[in-house]
Amino acid sequence: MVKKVIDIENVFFYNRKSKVEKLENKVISNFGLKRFLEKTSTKAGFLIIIIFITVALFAPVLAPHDPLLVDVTNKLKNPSLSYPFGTDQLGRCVLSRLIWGARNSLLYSFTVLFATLMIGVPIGLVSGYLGGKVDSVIMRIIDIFMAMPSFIVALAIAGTLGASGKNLVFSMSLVYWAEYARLSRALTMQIKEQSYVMALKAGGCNDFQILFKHVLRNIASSIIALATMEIGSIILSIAGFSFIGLGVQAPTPEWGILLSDSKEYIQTFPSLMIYPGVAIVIVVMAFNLVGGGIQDGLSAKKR
Amino acid sequence: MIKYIVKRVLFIIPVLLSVTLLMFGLSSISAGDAARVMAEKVYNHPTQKQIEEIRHENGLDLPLALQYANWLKKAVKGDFGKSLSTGNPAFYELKRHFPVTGKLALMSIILLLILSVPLGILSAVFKNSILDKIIEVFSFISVSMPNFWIGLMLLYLFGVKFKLISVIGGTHGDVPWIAAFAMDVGYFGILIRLIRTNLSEVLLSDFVKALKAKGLSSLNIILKHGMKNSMLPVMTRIVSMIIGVLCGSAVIESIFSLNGIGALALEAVISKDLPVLQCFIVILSAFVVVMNLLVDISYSVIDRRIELK
Repeated sequence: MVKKVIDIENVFFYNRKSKVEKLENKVISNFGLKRFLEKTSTKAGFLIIIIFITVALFAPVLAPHDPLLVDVTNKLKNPSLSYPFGTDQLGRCVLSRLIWGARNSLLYSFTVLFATLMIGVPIGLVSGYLGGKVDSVIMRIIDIFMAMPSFIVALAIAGTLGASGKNLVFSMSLVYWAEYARLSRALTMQIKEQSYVMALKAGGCNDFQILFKHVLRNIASSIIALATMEIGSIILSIAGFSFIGLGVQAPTPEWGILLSDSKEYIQTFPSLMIYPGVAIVIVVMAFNLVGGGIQDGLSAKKR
Repeated sequence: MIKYIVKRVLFIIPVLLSVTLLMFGLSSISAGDAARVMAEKVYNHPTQKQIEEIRHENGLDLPLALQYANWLKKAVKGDFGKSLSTGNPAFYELKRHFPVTGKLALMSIILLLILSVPLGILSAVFKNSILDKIIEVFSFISVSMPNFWIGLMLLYLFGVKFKLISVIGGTHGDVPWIAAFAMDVGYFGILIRLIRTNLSEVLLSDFVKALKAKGLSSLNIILKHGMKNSMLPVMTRIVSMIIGVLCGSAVIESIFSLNGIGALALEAVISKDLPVLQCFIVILSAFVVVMNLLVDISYSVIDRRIELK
């Protein structure tokens, strides 16, 4: 709607709606997606992400101590050989909690992403493919959910169902699915007019096969592009909600929890709040570098 | 035009209805028994009979749809029931806590403008220079930073190291500028980039060339003509930042121990104070939806080129 005035140069710096609007205009080919990854900064971002995912996957092996093991006699210790980042207020190993924190933070973020994709993409595909009355009803519903502020929904769900990591994933998926539904709907509407879809129909493919095999394969790149641009803000949201007590609950090692635990020791033992913050910043930056690379690719393609 | 506005105004209703329905449906399936909580306020150890009495008095034994209708009827008039923890009307509680958050929001918007408008102009005017690159890096860092971490670091720096602000929190109504700054992290980058994109586009347009040919000074062109023509998207983005600041104030309020509406909402979540929570959710979502509506309408009024769907 506001295409003319805001000629978007860098989608990453804009809000949810304009991200989707930018990607809606054209179906990205799989080849195009690969080309976005050629920039050095994008590659660097990728490398960091892979390192963090490896750490998250092998957390049980890499962590030197049990992240939940309380040892009050050993509390608030400075870094030593056996506790490289020291210990926290309950004598737990900070490094181990950070490593397990990577596992939990990334796990929750990817769960949100997976859930939004699982809800949003099929709804968008069916809506765009069927068109007509069904489509206009679904589009209304999508509009309603896009208008809901995510903080308010998270608050409503935490307040009524209780604050927990599971409920946070629920509330975030409830808000974010609409973007993917909108994007896949717009792209499906473009693809279904193409002649190869007609050919598939003539060849005896049923609607289900056409949608979930052929159309889905063609819109996958656009959806991956949107997801990559969003994962950074999902990680920030999860840590933020957990920090204020609306998400994952202590003593689960999660970066937001680690930070909120450290707040009480800001005067006596401030080093506790450094590590989780640095970890969050590095991961979010890495994802944003990759997201930025994808955008550069998108705007280069336009010319 | 009028048809578009009417359509958009009517769209508010389904959004607000779905938010309240969601909230109401969830609170009814959640485990807590509201009647028991209320009864425990009145009697120390309520008997089953007393609980049932309270349940009947408050209409909690009616079918859910009827309860929702009753609640909605009252809510439209601003009556959200009484806070379970203080006994004051929920709406009064919200009003009482608002000044702190309002002040925080106002201060952070002022700071945001003071810091990002000049940087945005500089990077647009000296596009692709070293200065522009530095500002770009700053914007990138800004959008990748969690504001709660920056808040903690600033609290440590100014509260513990320099002892400029109180770590335990200001008195009622006293908001430190540091808190407002922490609130803005993440928005700086967005606004700077937005100004850069729009202003540099305007500076390349024909009418700017004409002004230059007429002999106007560059400063005059940039500040008067350039900014005027690139302000529209910036203004609307600032509106959405005001929304973000008001909704997201809970994080900063909890770090700097401020007693605003965000802190009130968090407290309501912890103490299961449903009336206050419902009041917060309804008022804030109404605010968000109405502000977004105003942005869209002002867009179409100011710039008639926008195609109306």
